[in-house]
Amino acid sequence: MTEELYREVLLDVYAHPRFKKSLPGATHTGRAVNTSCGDEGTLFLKIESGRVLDVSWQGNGCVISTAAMETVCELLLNSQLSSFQSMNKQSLLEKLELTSIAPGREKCLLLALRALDELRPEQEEQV
Amino acid sequence: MIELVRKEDFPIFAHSHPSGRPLVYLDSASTSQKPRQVLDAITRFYERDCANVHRGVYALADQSTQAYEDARRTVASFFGASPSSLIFTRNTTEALNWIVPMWLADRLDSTKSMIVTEMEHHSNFVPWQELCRKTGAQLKILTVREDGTLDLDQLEKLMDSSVTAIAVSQVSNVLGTHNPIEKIQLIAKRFGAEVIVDGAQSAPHLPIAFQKSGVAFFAFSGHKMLAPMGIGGLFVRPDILEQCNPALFGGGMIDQVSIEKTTFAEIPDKFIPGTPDVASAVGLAAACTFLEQLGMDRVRDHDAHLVRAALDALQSVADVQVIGSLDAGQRVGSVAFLYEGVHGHDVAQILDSQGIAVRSGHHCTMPLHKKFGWPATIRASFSVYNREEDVYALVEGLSKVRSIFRKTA
Repeated sequence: MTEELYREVLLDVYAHPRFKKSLPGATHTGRAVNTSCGDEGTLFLKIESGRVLDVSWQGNGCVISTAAMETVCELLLNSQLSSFQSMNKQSLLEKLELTSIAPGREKCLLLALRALDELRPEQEEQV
Repeated sequence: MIELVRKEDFPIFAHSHPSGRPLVYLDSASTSQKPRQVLDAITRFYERDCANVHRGVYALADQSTQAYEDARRTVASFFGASPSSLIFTRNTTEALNWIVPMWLADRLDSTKSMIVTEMEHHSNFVPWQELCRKTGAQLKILTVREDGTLDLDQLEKLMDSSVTAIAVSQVSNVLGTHNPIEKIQLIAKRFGAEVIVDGAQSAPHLPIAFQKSGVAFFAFSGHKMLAPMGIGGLFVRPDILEQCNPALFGGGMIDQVSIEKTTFAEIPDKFIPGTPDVASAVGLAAACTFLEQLGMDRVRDHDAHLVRAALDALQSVADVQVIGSLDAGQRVGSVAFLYEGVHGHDVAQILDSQGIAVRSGHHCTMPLHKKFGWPATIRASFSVYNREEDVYALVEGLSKVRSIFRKTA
């Protein structure tokens, strides 16, 4: 699993995450924490008429949680709200081209999905 | 470096690691591996001596009771304590939690306070935080200095007549700091406060003289000191034990039961509710005997040697920042560090792919990690079976982290 995980492409995502930035005007946010890892991630979405116009995330984590956050953001961008439900552990693994995940690292992978589960409308404008 | 034990005595090392490499086990602060002598003692109990204790009149019940009482004497003697001052528990966490209903809950209210340090494992923090919340007592925090040590001048300032107890680890599970329990006990005594010692990380490495220390409570886990999981203990100073209430009720701990009322058994039986884990107590005694035969002075020196080697070696690795004191003399049992730009879990997994087991995360010390702004640290910790070559394997293993992550830099 280690070779598969620390492939150049994932390490590159970790070193240069595209979606890790602030998102002024976000309409929805969702945050999840893996306390035992010290990982945390917040998703920011700008949704209009049921469509995700823009997306970002902020937080910190390992290669897996960062890659999963990036993948979720990529899948969300320009998608319909209804497509959220099709995202699960298996679809993330496939997208990341991982055949499996060790039990001890599964929560790293799922951080992004848990943040998505927590998605709520913003009360005030996000800055 | 002289080998302290034969690696063959620890069967785990005869089994192959999934990586195909020999196992380099550097997570003994989490749990230690178990020697053949301990495993055999447990098997022998179940094969030859198994019956319930303190109940039967037949020969086998006598053997079992004898094995349990012998175990109590052996363990107590190892810790420099009288057998009646030992209450067997499952682990340190349970031992510390027992102090609440046994003694502390009746002694805290809104006029009282207790002190805990910032470096405590959650086991030696949350029970007191909860109790203070329920009783309205004040929870005072003794801070950790930048070098990972406690400031006893600050402790003096926190002390007053409201302080009922000070809860402190003898050795920190993250910083490795060896705290000055003797001095803390002297300060506590001047103010009429009692000291609760979390000995989870000290018992495996240091000679302990409970009775001589004068502290009220000392909690430890067997599984970190070569004994099986599921057995540990709480030592209680005899005069404090006289004041203690039983915390769990039922079989074994009673004297007389009638519909109207119940009287309790004598010390220590009144603190042994239900059938105890006799086999694990026997295993713990075997672990104490194993360590005693090595000599705890030698065990301490062996650990000091490994800690010094790890401190020296890790400080020479680029991108590694050792946390806690850089003075090996201040530390026991472990060395934790950060790897710049790489998450602890990734470091641990890349090390695992080379057969090296280390722990990464917050090690149940979230307040400490928050204070220093560490998301997750990586900890290498030692036991009697570790050798200097394990430290060098760790350093060598870290070069793979560097080669993987530097590709993308």
